[in-house]
Amino acid sequence: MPSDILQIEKESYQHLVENVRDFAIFMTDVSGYIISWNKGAEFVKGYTAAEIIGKHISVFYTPEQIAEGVPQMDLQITLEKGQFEDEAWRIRKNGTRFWAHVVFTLLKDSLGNTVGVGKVTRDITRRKKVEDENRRLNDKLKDQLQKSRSEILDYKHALDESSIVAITDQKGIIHHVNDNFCAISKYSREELIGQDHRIINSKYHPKEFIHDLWTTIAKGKIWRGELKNKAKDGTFYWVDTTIVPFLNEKGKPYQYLAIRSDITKRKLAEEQIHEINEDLERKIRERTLELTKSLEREMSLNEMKSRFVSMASHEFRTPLTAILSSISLIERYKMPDQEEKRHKHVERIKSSIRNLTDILDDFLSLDKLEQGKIETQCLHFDLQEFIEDTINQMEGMLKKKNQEILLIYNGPREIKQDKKILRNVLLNLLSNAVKYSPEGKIIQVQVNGDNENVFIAIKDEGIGIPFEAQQHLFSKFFRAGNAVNIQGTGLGLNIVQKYVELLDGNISFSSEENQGSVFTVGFPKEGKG
Amino acid sequence: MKKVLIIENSREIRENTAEILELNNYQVFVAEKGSAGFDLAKKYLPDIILCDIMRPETDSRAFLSLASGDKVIRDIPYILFSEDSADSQVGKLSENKNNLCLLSKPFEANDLLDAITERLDEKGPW
Repeated sequence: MPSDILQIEKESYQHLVENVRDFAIFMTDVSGYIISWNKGAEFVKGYTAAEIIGKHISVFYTPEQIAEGVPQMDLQITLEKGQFEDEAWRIRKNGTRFWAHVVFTLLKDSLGNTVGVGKVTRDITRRKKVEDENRRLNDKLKDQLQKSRSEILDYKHALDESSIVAITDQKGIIHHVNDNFCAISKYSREELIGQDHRIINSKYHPKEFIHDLWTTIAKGKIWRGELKNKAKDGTFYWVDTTIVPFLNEKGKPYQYLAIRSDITKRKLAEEQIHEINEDLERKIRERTLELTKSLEREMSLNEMKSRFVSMASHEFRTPLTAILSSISLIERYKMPDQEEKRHKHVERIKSSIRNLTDILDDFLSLDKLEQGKIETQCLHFDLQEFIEDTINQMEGMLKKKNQEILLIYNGPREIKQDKKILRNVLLNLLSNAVKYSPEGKIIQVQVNGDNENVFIAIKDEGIGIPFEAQQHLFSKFFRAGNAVNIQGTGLGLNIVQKYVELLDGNISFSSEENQGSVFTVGFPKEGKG
Repeated sequence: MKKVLIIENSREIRENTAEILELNNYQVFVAEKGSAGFDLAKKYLPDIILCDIMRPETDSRAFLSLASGDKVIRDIPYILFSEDSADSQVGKLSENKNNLCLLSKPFEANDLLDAITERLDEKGPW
């Protein structure tokens, strides 16, 4: 390198050093006495070159540093190692302190002899402040992080202690479960991780309910609700559930935290209350129905009563009128030759009284039947004889209307039945046949039987039963439209039907208006009771 | 001799009533049913008609509707046999309420005879 260039460089360099403002660059001798001073040194430390050259560097040190012998030590280290770098407090001329970055460099000539110490000092108070602040903030942050980490751990601990916790990914795959989850579901952690919640699905909730849950959390919203789950052993449990979606920076859920608490007991209690309520409601309904029914019964009883009064009024007044008028006439027939007329009216009175007695008998039978007071008493007897005998009882009625009963007997001889009831049934049906047939007609009685049953059919050629009346025929007090001019209580067939039921039998009929009717009674050969 | 028409469903009452009236010098016609009774009324023009209206369904009532539609028959006085005198339906049975009276069953022969005399007297002398 040519020497003039070197010289120029040296000068430029010196100029540069002298004029650097941010760095105090100065030299001391090996003992620490200042021998050069640049502009920067003047700016940083506050001394002019004239003031400071020849002074010892210890003026820059704090009293504490001086007391500890720091200036000498710094020099000593520099002399030994050739360079020493440090950051420490320094004092300006005006007594104020600054944080300095200092570099000591041992200076040697071209021959290697030590000529002094070069010192570069920089005021890094601001940097230190920033660094200190950074450190402080960092520490604070660390501290806070530590705190919140332990807080989170506390929360997690509290959550794990108190709740049933599971974490799933956005697809619902279970990534984490706590001990409570395992305990209530009776699955081990290994069995649960990697599965989705279908593993504990009770199939209790409707599809829409589950769909609503998923749409809610997929939107990033919290879902709350009560879920019924199924444990590994097939038992069910109820959990109050809160599902909290964790959202990524795009606001999309990347995992779900499900916090549950066991509400099985409460649900069971609720179910019980529900059941009790249902039971109560059912009972109330039943009771209401019962009351309605008894009200209806009461009403039909009332209606029955009024029908009875109307029927009784008519059925009683007719024979009573006949009796009263016959008595008036008997009173008039006082002459001995009027014996025949008197006799006719006495007979008429008797017949009317029989008529009244029959009506009373009907009422009494019906009352007994309805109160279940009639019991069957079955005895063995000859059926054919019995029927012939019963037909003979009809003779009086038949004679009056010049009618005849024809018996066709194909039935068994001996049967076991309640004779009294059977006689009632037959007399009732036969007298109906007589009553509702014109004079001179024939009534046919046909008896058939099989191994178990007897069938008695009574056929007449009478007025018949109008089609619209047929369905009501066995109702109490019912009279068919074409029968109203014929005396009757409307109780006969009702009583017959009840009697036949007592015999474990049944009654049916077929009829055509103005053609006649056939009533068929079937009953077992061997009656019970 | 006054003519009486009896329309009565019950044979015993029909016959007994006829007998009582005949013993008291009335000429009696009897009918079991309303329609036959109307024919007799047209034929013999009775002075008074006795008619049983005990049951709403009986065709004695059919007679009353036929009678009230006939210029001649409707002016004939009636005695209606009813269950009781408070039968509210009776009023609807005849347009001419002045010429009917009710006799409730059972009745004494004398009551019947009195009722007939009364009705005939009201009609005025012949």
